[in-house]
Amino acid sequence: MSPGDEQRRGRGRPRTPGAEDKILGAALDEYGERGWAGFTMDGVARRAGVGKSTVYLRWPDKDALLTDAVTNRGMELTAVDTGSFEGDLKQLALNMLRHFHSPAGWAALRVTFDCASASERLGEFSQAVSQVHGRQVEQICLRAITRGEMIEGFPLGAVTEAIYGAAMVNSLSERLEGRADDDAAIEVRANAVVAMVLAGVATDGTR
Amino acid sequence: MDGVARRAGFGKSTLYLRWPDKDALLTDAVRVRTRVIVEEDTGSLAGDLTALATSTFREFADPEGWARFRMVIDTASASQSLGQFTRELSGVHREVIEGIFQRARDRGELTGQVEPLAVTDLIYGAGLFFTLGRRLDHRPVLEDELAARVADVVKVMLDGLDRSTPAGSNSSGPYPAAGV
Repeated sequence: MSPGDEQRRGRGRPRTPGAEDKILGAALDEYGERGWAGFTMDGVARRAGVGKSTVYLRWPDKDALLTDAVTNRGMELTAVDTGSFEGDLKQLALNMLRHFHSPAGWAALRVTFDCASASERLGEFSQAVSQVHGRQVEQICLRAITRGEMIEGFPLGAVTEAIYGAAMVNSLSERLEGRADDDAAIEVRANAVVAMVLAGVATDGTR
Repeated sequence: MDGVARRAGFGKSTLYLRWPDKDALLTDAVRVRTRVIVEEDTGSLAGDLTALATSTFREFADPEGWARFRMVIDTASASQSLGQFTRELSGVHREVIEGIFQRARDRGELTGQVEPLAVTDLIYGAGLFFTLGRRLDHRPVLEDELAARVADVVKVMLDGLDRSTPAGSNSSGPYPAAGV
């Protein structure tokens, strides 16, 4: 780590390589089991196999820790730019499906549902949750319109929402049905949804 | 969890008062879904898909429907067996969507091969994501907003994103920038 990185990342970052990811992952697991009320920094530290002070050095409270945990992977998942609309949608669908099929992704999904079910914001982290979804995926559509690959005037959110939502529903049904989809099966499912979004199901569709 | 339940629109106790156990709740959920997703022949593919999507969106938007959904999520997270419930649920979904497509083929509205599960993924996913966004922003789901979004979803499925589709034919009106 260069001195510049040190400065940017703040003085309290864990020095152990990988410790941060481990803690963020542990935070999601802990939340998944105990929910907001039962969530403690202690529990996260135990689960991550690090000292409590290591967690507190980086995150002042559970709200800050959860905010980082839910936003940690959200941006990299949705930041796709393959150069074509079809490529972007396929990559997005694949990323979201793989994510929701993973334990960490499922835990992040549960955090989201908890936030959506509470009558008031559970903490600052719930605002982060609402922002992970949304804006960034719309960039895919905006680029497609610029390239002339997508009609103008169509609600941008409807397209990405459909793909994002389909990934959620698919991973839910996998769990309910006790399936364990391998990566090939996930890709087939992702492509089926993208193909329909791209082409439509009617005879006057694009293909 | 008590704290969450206290602040939540639906506390755990409320759920358990209404349904003595998980099986009762989930069986009830299937029954409700079956009643809601009636196999309605509107006379056109667009009409049938709109009816199906509308009832699905309403189920998510309804507080009780959301509570049922939460219970399914919790059960799925606990890796508990939901064999019978799941078979009933997916059976109903497949039956409804295949009925819609068969009628569309009979009318000549549909010629290509369609993966029914991709269609249900799309409709359920869009309904779920729509409600999720409204709830996260603490905005109520308005009926005309719901109808507009259903129209968008059906349009995606029917037309695809064909550039030949006239621009501006979208009926949804102003669309929130955030998308969710």
